Amino acid sequence: MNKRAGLLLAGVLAAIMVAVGYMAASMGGYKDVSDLAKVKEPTLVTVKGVIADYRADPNSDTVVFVLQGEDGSLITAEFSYQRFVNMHGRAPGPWILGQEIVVKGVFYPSKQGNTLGYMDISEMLKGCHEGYEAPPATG
Amino acid sequence: MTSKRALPHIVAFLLLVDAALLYLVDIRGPFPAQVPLGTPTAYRNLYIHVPIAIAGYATFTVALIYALLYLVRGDARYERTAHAAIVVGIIYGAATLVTGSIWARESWGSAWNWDPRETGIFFMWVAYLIYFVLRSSIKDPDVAPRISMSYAVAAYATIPLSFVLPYIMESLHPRVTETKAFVGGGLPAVLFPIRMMIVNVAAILFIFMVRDRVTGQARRVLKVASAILLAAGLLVVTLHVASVASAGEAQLTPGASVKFVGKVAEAQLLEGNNDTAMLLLKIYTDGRAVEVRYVGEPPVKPVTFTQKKGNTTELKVSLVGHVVLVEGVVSPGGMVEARSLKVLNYWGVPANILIYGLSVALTVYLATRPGRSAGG
Repeated sequence: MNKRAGLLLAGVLAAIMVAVGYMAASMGGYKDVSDLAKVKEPTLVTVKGVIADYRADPNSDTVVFVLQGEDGSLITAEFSYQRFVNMHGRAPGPWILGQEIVVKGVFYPSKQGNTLGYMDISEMLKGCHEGYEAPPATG
Repeated sequence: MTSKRALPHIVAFLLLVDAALLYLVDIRGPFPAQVPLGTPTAYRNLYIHVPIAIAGYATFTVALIYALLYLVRGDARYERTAHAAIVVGIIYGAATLVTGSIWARESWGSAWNWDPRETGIFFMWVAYLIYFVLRSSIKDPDVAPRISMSYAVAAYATIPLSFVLPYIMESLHPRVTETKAFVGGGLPAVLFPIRMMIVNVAAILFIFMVRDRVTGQARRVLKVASAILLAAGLLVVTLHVASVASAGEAQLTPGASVKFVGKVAEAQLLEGNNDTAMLLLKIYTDGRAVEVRYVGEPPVKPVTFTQKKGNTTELKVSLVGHVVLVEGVVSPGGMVEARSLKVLNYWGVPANILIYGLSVALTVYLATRPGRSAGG
């Protein structure tokens, strides 16, 4: 193999890697609640939305969120009350309203008006971008 | 002393300084006063995870340079250096994935969720792992170096890709500008760049030691330094386990002494300042809220900070979100009068210090084991 062939092989392989890597990352990224309008059957999804309303019941270990997408469409999404408390250190309350969250779980489409369906949340996620806005503290 | 002989001594010195720095990160590393999810101390991983990740990128960049030099000039020394750089990069890449997942578990809510940055780094790591399979599968000694070096150049494409993904896709991962804002002043502005420099310089020098192998007295010096770094990791893990293990359940019987671990849900500064403060806290422990009053030196400083929200500025107490160890007595009203209030680190901070120590120990093992040098 000569010098030129080695570099050409590297170039072709690099292009393939960028394409495959980009596709892999695209499949793993998360979408907006409004994108769920295209989902026609129960599907595992990861979506972001703003908490427009909520209902919490510690006895049945459930907290149900109404999540709003960028175009105003809504979904209801259910999570474990206890897991929510363990993650956040406090019970769900009015403080969660207006917060953007990312949730992963199975979405069951059933369009009614601007409500797109129901989601059974398996993971509740949050980006850490805002964390760096606060000043440093030590302890 | 020749420059080649000096390298292990330089790295040994850096590792010793780093052991002390990591202990400082564990007990005093600054974190954001408020975070969106989890305990703020998890952000001490900024001083651990980020330098390891950048060191992974740096070693793979060295591999790219030497692989290109080999493809252009055909000198076997370049091929051996590129190979050693990939060996070191694979170790630092694995440490990046593990330390990042441990941090994400607390600060994102899930250890692994195929976030674009996670996927990008994982893809990069697998791409370089395939390099070893490819290199060992080609039996022709004349063809193997050229094909594997071409592949090493190609694999580098995964690095800019993994870096830009959070900029072009929705991602939970912060961008450079966000972390830069946090490490732009105070102690983070000192601690972060020093660790970044030490971890990266050590990683790059490791490449040449893995390539040439360290022998003699330098070998012993390097091994002792890496053992001390590993011991620092074991020490912080042991201290963490001991502090958590000493706590029990919060039995709210009036007059009873209690010692428990909980998460601060709400905090109110009744009076005081950074030296002495009276704090009223609502702490969640075992799924219930306990009211705690504490008077003394605040465990997190500054005790309050201001946050801008639109046109308004709010005064917030820094203790919110922290996992704390409370020691005190239950008052007749059921409130705990705390005589001691300590902030506990997220377990992932000492764990990641230990993981870094193990990664360095593995690299030192590869650099000091007897036998032929890498790629030789």
